[in-house]
Amino acid sequence: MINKNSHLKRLLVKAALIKNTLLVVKGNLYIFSGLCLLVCIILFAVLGMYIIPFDPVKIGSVPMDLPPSSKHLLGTDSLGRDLFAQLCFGTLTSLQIGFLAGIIGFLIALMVAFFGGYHGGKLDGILTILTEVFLTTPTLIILIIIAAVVERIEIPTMALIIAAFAWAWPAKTMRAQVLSLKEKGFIYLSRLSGLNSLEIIMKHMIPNILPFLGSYFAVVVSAAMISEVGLEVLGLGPRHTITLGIMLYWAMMHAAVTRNLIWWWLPPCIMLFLIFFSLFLFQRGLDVIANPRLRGE
Amino acid sequence: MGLPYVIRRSIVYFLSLFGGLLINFLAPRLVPGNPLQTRLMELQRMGVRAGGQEFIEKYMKIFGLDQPLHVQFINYLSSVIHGNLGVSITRFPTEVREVIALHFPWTLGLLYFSYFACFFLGVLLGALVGWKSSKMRNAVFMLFIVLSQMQYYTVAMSLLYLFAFLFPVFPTGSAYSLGITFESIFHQIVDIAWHAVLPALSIILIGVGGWTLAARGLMVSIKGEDYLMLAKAKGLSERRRFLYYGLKNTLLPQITDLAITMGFVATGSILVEVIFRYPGMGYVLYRAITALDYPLIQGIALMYVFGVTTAGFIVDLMYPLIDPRVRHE
Repeated sequence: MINKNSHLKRLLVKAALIKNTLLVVKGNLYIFSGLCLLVCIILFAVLGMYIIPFDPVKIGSVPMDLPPSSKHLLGTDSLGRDLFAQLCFGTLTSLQIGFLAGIIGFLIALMVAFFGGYHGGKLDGILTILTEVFLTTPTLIILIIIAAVVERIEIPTMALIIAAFAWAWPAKTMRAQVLSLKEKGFIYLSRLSGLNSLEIIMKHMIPNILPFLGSYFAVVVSAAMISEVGLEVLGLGPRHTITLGIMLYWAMMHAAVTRNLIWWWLPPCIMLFLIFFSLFLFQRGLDVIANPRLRGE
Repeated sequence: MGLPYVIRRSIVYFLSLFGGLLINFLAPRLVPGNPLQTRLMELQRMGVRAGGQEFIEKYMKIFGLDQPLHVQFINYLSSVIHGNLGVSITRFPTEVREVIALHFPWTLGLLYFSYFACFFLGVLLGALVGWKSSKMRNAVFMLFIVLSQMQYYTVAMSLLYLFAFLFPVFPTGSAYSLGITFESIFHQIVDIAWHAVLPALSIILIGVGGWTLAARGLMVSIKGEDYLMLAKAKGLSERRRFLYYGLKNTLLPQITDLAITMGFVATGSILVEVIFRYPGMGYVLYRAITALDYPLIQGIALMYVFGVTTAGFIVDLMYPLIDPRVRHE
């Protein structure tokens, strides 16, 4: 009877927790609109890919420099490719690189922050200095050096290179979180009760700073995408395929702005802005949950 | 941490520089394939009979590529320290050093002006909004927050389209008018400033938002401090309270972030320079990338790494001198 009761209680607590979280997400306009926007972007790109019959990559598959029309929704570029197909395809590849790099970079940051921050000592000292070194070095420049010598960059390579330099800032801020959390009473208690450090980190520390972690994840993804597009605009990226950055690279290469081919350079810019803005909204919303002081007066 | 701040910061600085040099040195060497061999094969494909293995060995010896890696690295370090960055391929026989010297001032001027403009404008706006919010202030605040989520290329291309193409108020590119003899040095300065407006504006519009957001947060927390209450009780004017008690304390802690954002702005300025064909190091870098001029790419990259890390280092060292609260910790 007691057992059943406590089981029921636990279920109730869980249900309340889930309801709370849902309420927070729903009530939090930032997160909700951010997520919606991102989902809409992905849906738009996937649907577009299915509907548009043109090849986004193959040069010369359609006539050149056509303005937007009912056949070519966003016109065509100077290399003879349909721009709407490019936009949809490019959005997906760009997001792919961004999220892949973001996930890898976030995992690196997580490990650096928790292993260093929790255990302290020499390892922590080395890791913090390393973090600061990465923080003070201009990332894009280092990426340029590396990408310039790699002859043919594929999407996973690109993501890896970017991830290697996208972890420093979240690692630093997360470490600060871990340090303050480490001194809390319930962590002491769980340490006394004989849990090993991995269990404490996974079961007691991470759930406590989940909103923070979510917001850092969004930051890493957006930082990775900034590097990605920055590299691609300069012509350092998977040039044999299409991403939003590569689209801009070709547009700049063919002086699209001063040749009045606005349908070439503006759509990828708008799409990138929407992607970054959705990530920003998501991150801001989680920040507000994690740090009530940000809610303002 | 046990180490004193200055020593710690110096270690970080030298490691950053060293890391930059190491990557610069290793990247071309770790990529599979021997550049000489590739070039020879290309030549042979075109029908040119070029020397075989013996030829390669001879050239490897001339460039010191037959020595062990650490010896090569020491040679590389000593040549960099002596300012020898190699010879540009596309501008042969100009040395990379000379190319950089020619284009560096443009980047320096554009970058530093817009960078500090961002900082002061951003902090001022954020402090104003945090101090007392009004409809107008909030609208401007939101505008800059949205702008800060834009990208350098978006803003730069839009400005170029709007103010150089649709309404040709500003020039579409370059940093000065070519083929015109100026009446006086004053006219020349005006011309240069005129060309710099759009590139600088692109950087400023994007950069302000970040500072604003942070400054507002700081100002909101400062407003609750006792010393402001005291200042008010003493009957100091609102203007004085804002400037000397609020703004000053919002400005100072943000200086620590100057070093970190420097890298971001510097790399952003590369993209802006490319779009406006502004003859700074960024544009030369872009040209070097499209022409595969490796010595020039590496030289300029090294220059950026050196510039950004050194500027950050100086800012961080000066900070304790400016803000006494840090000194006593």
